[in-house]
Order: sequence, then structure tokens, then C-alpha cells
Amino acid sequence: MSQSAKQGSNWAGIYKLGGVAALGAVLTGVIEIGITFLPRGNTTQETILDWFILFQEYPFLGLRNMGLLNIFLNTLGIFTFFALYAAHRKVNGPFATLAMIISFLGIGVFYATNRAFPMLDLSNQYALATTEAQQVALEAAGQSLLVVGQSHTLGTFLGFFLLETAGILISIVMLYGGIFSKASAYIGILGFSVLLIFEFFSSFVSGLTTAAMILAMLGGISSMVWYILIARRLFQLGQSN
Amino acid sequence: MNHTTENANWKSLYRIGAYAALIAVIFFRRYLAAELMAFNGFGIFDVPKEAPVTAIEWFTLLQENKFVGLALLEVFDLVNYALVGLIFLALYAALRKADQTAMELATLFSIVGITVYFASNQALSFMYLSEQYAAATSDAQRSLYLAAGEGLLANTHGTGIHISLFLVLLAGLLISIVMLRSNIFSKATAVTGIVANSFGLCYFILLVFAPAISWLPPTLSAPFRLIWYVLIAIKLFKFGKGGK
Repeated sequence: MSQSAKQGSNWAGIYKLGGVAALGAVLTGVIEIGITFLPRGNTTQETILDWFILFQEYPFLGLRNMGLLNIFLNTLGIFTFFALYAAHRKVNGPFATLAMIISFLGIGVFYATNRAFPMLDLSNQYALATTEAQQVALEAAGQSLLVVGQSHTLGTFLGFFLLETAGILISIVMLYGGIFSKASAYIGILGFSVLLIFEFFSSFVSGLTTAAMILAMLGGISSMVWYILIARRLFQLGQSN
Repeated sequence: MNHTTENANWKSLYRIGAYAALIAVIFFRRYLAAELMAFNGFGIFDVPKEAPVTAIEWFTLLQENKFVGLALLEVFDLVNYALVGLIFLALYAALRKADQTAMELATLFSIVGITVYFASNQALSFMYLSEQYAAATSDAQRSLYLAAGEGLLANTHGTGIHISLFLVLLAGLLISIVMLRSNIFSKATAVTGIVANSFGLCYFILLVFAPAISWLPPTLSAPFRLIWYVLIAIKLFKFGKGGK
């Protein structure tokens, strides 16, 4: 096999991996929606005590409400954004690279600020606490975790902001790149823009729950359609390379 | 590949880097909080004479003046670091042919540094906590939020903040050395960058061996960094227009 053919085959592998990751993101989205319809799948926790109770009664729901599925989604995002960079590296290298870097920044920040497993650990300690002093100390520790890691609050704003900005930027690159359909690009721009607006609403404006939920649904569905469209195209690129 | 389009994309990146450098000089300078304190809010903002120390003092400041509270919690350094990322990416584009390995290493250092900084800056979380504290209805809740606030404050000047600064300064020093060894930027730009970033890195030595005067290196490096950014912006604008 010649050097260039070998290189082409390596890139084909990256495209296919990106396609699988994009489908994985869709699957994660479907699971997220499915869990919402389960009993207690759509509850809100007001106080740290509510969180500790949820973690003790339904550990999986506690982890999910603290962003467990987003950990998977972001991990898959690494492969998807790298594949999209690979697809556009020759038509718009600078901005495809910029979008990839911003997405990696967002993913890094998300990983660093996610508090799902420390909260599970703390709730276990709380359940074992024997004195009121211990419980008070653990509640305070839990509160400081919550303020950094509770999804769609000021604590997690930066990670989501960077990821959604990267999504908009790579969709703009797709729009002018001619490799993906214009429809994919427009759906990406729409979906990530709406999610970005939702993130602003949920983090900075209180009392707009219904409006924010409509935005989250619209953005979520659009981004799932985007993932399906890019998966299809990435598989095609993987075949033709 | 369309060569003209590719060139236009690089030029756009140079221009973005140039604008980022100017914005980092004019609006979002690193340590804006220290400047606000030193120059008494530039006569515009009502800045306390001494920075708050305890969580309750921070909560009070954030409730009285959100902008000043967030500024003193260094929220604007988040923007500064993002701008530095754009400047360094444009510099990577400009200097990649001079020394690709060094420029890739510098870009990697800066990306890791910026990510760590974004993850370590607790300003927005602290504001969220102060809002919860203000809305609390019982003493028990208030005590809880105060304890959580003290925990967050401990992270405000934690390892992540120092590591990120170290990595970004190291990246800056590496880029300045590449500038010096190539003829793409002027010698003055390269030397200014070396001085600015070397002074900055001295902070870590003083932090360990003479913490009482650890404020000195950042203060000395600040004017050199501003000049460095201006010189970079001028050159990047030239590249953006297609000049050599």
C-alpha cells in the first residue's frame, strides 16, 4: 500500500469513527428523553437534602441529573468534532481547527466541573453520618459541589457555552465547505444557537422555565437531526476515501 | 483545494488574532481586578478599598454591586484567556513554517492552560451561590451557603489558576523565542515578548521563595505584555491584508 493510500485509509477510519460517535450521540439523546418519561425521571431537587435523598433512593437518576449522560455525549463529541475537522481540513483548515479547539475546551471544562460521582460519594457519607455536626458539614460540602456542577446553572455555563459555540462555528464551516449539505449546516446553526439561548436563559434568567424548556426541546431535536445527517455523510466519506 | 479560499481563511484568522490582541489591551487586560483596586475603580466604579476576604463579605459585595464583585472575582480574566487563545492560534498560523514543533508545543500548552483556567475560575459559581444566599429564608440555609462559599473561595486561588498561568506564560515565551529566530516578526516584538513572559514566570519562583514580593513580577511584566500585544496586533493586521 502506498503512503498516500495508507493515509487516506487512516482518514477514512476517522470519518467512520466520527459517524459512529454521532450515532452514539443520537442514542444518548433518545435515552435521555426515555428516562425523562420514567417515574421520577423529571423531578427537580430544590435543596441539597433533596439531592442526597435522590442519590440514596435512585443513584442512577441522581447521577443522570448531575450530567452522567452528558459525560458520554461529550466523550462522543471528541470523535465527532475531530472527524468534522478532518473532513474540512483542506477546505477551511483554520476555522475547522478553531471549532475543534473550542469544542475540546468545552469538553475539558465540562469534565473538570462535573460533580456527579463526588455527589454520589458524599450522599453515601451523609447516609452513614451519625451526628448532626457531621450532617451539617456534609450538606455544606454538597452545596459547594452543587453550585459548580448542577447542569444548566451558572456553574456549568462555561462548558456548555463553549460546546455550543463550537457547534455553531463548525456548522458555518460546513455551510461554506461544500462537503456536507446546506440543510445539515442550517440545522446545526439553528440547533446549537437555540441551545445557546437556552443556556443563557437557564443560567442568567430565573422564572422562565416553560420558555426555557421549549428552547431546550427545539435545540435538542435539531441537534439530534444534525447528528443523524452528519453521521450519514461521515460514513459516505469513510467509504469513498 | 481552492488556494485563494484557503488564503482568505488564514487572513481572517490573522485579523481575528489582531482584534483579539487589541481587545486584550484595551478592555480585558489580565489582572483587571488588581487595576480596579489600584486605581479606585477608574473613578467610575465604586470599588471597596480592600478586597473582600470572607464568603459573607463577597456575598454582600455581589448583592450591592454585581459588576464590581464579579470583576474582583476575576470573571474578566475568563475573557482575557479566551482572547489569548485566539492570539496564540493566529501566531501559530503565522509562525508554523518557522518552527512547527515549537509552535505546536506552544499552542498545546496554551490550550491546556486555558482549559484549566476555565475549569478553575469560580466567579460565576460564586455569583450563583450569592443569589441562593440572598434568597435563603432561614439561618440554617444561610449557614449552609456560607460554608459552601468558603469552600469555593479556597479554590479561587488554587492550583488550577497557577498552573494555567504558568502554561500560558510558557507558551508565550516559546512563541517569542520562535519570533526571535525567524524574520517574520520584528526583533523588538520578540524581545518584548521574552521580557514580558520571563518576568511573568518569575512570579512562580517568588511565590515559593519570597511570597511577600510575589506581586512584583506580574506588575513588571504587565506593561511589556501590553506593548507585545500591540506589536503583534499591528503585524497580524498586515498579514490579514496580505502583507509580508
